[in-house]
Amino acid sequence: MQKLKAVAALFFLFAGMTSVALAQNASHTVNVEVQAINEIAITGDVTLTISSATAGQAPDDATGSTTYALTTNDAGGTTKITASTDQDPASLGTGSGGVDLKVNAAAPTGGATPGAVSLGTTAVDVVTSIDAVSESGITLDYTLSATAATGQLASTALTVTYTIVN
Amino acid sequence: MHHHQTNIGCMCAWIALFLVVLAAPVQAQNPPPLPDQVPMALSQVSLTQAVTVSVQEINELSISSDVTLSIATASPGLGPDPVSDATATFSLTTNGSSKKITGSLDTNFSTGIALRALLAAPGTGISTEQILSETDVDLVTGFGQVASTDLGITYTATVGIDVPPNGAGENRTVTLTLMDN
Repeated sequence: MQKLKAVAALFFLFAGMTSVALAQNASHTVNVEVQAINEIAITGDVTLTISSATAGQAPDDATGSTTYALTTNDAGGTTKITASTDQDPASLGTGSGGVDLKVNAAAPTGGATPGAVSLGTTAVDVVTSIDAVSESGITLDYTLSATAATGQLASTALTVTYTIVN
Repeated sequence: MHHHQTNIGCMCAWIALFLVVLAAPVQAQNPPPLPDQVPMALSQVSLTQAVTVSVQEINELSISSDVTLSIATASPGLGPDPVSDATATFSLTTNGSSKKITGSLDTNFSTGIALRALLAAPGTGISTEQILSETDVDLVTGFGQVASTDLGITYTATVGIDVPPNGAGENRTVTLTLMDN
């Protein structure tokens, strides 16, 4: 019985040694870091021209559309997009009152939109309650309005800046 | 007459003994022959020796350094950009045949994070890029009897948009194992 135990012990000893000899391990640490990502892009510029009116009425609105793409990994649901212009539309034109430039930004999936809002040099919310999302082709509808009192306005480029705010 | 002859004989004997005594110290100053000179001197003698050699199976594997992958960019409308790193290397020596290298993580990454590994193949090995997890996967197969250093390890991390920023990141231990195919 003692011999049998000794043989068994030797067997398992050599079995263990064989295993060590056949497999060799090496390891190291890999760190994967995810930073805050907030990216937005507008696909194209828009030209809005007011050139007609129904007699007795204010000039007809001019409309135009483009799209935007958005990626954010902020999952808090508090992310929003604001927009502002580099010039105050209300100050444009040869007359008084200026023009009204509105944008209606559709919301990405899960977000909310306040509808059409007038743009100015002060940033306003155009999309709210955005969760983590990556989406493209989201509509931006612009509407330019003027009154007779606005007078005329030579072609003027306004820069609209969209900002993701977490 | 007989007595005279006896005296002469004794004298010769003493002279011979004297010469032997004189010669003896000269022989003692000569060094003994070296062992390998014995068969040369005695050309009929040969020596044999049994030399036993053995080469056991050798399997050695090492990895050069740790790696950090930082995901921080995206194209608008698309998910976060994958990030790759090829700074780590591994070295191995094996005199065995039909070997492979497997890889695994100590713990899976959070849902939405995937870490791929692509190892440069030593010798005739075949590499396959694989997603690492707690379960071993074959990264290189079909090689043997090779010693190579500084073979590249390329890691690629991808995350879904649902993975929130994770501060200092998640550390995982990647273990490579050199084993029989």
